Amino acid sequence: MENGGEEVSIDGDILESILSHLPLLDLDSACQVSKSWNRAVFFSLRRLKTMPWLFVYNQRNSPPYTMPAMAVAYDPKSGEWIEIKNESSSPVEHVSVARSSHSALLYALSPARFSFSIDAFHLTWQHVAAPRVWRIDPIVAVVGRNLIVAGGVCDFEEDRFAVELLDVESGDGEWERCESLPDFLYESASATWLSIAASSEKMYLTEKRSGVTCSFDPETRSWTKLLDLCPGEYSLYSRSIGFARNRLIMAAIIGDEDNPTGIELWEVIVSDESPMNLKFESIGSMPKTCLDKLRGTDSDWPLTSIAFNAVGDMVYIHDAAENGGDIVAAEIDGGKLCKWRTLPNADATWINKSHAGERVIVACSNFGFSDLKLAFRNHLSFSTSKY
Amino acid sequence: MSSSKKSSDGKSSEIEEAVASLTMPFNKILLTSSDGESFEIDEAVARKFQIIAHMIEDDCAGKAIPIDNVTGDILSKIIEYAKKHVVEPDEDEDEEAKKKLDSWDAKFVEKLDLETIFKIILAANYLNFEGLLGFASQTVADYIKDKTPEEVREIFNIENDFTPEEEEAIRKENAWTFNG
Repeated sequence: MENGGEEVSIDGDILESILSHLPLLDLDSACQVSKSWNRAVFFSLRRLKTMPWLFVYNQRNSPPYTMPAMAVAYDPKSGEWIEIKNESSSPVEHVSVARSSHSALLYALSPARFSFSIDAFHLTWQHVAAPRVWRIDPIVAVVGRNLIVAGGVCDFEEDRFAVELLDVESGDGEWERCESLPDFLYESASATWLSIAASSEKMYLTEKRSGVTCSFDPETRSWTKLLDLCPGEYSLYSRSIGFARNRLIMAAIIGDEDNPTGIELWEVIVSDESPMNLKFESIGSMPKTCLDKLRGTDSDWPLTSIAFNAVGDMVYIHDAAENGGDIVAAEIDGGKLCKWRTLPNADATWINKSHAGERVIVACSNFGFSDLKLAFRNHLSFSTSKY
Repeated sequence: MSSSKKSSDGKSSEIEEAVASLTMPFNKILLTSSDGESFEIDEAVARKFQIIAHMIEDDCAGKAIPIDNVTGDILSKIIEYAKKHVVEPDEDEDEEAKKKLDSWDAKFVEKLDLETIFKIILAANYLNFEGLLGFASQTVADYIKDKTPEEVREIFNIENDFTPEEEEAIRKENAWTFNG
């Protein structure tokens, strides 16, 4: 209210605070209102604490493995799906099926090439030579400036537990062999059986079934065994881990495959000095209504494992088999989970996959003001999706 | 406020004491608005206003506290909200209570015009009443949501001080152009 003496003027800090409650897309309108509003939007974005979006990409599951220049993303703040289009780009052909192993990382591996993207909106893909050891289904993680691949080795190769590391920033594109995967992971040295979490300093691996866990430090290039992820009285049959805002979080299914009784989450408190001394702090359980929706209408299908994305203050969980069924989300507030919900029309996400010879890739990114500016400069357009 | 009942059973009086300590104040605090209106409220309610909570901690809260920046009509609304929100129900443990409170909140703002909500925001900011500040800000944000710039200007009575060229530039570059 900028004219009239009697009227109340909302500006500066207060206006920025109001704008910070607006979902991202509505800020577009707000910044065209007047010069002072434009300024307030700018400053409010500066201190933006976004809730990480969940990104869903489609890809052809056979050559040329095209990914359209379009994705949908769920914005937890507005509770809506956003359609993201790259106006200036055509579909990208990848070397193989792309995957996401943790947070915002997308990668595609072929015998000749390894491509990966770690920025929030996956605008930039980097390409390096493939790791020296031939792999089909390796563990892949980005820890700080290091790209790590482990296991998933082809039958004819000698060392099934080979681990290779690439310093992304050093520019020489050379993979370096490191200490191999610990042999207690003998049965399960590939991405199918292991769940991955990455902090800026370490990579964590846990065997989904047994909870056998270890961490890898790229600085020392070495592995450390940790205590099994088996908190107290619960009978967990499958676990997944993620690293969100300095916390290692575990989501696990209780009961058995044909009759899962619940999904529980813990913060796993790790101490560098005593890795065998883990503490589990319960942070919440999925409400039954959400669990039923996660399993979908075909709840006769066993729930074998869950796909778990934990970034910033959000967690997203869905059935790893991606057969239908909803994506469940919750917020971490004060160290506990709250605001459990299912994503609207998420089942439409999986339908694409079977119908058009496509598969679905899910990643989760936190983004800041600079990522957003980069996105706009690269001609990304955002609009509310018809989902 | 509420009278404490004496109970013969030792255990239930323990519980009653605990409940009483949540709802029964040690003290009453008197707030006086800028236009001379006085409000007597329980300490528990007054503590929702951080600025007063600090005064109580530092022992400089007398019996009467003048609130110079806020008029009586606005202060009464704020106190009404604060009284309802003395205890915030846990969303997961007491869904019923949370729903009821949300419904009360919705009715509370429904009757208010935008001008009043602005005044409430400014007052809540001054008093440092986080809960109401967030809620009122969200309410205003909801007004803006899904509106065109022109509609927003109308609602908030704002003058468009962009030149047509500037407006076009912003629309094209999808905004965020302030100082590049």
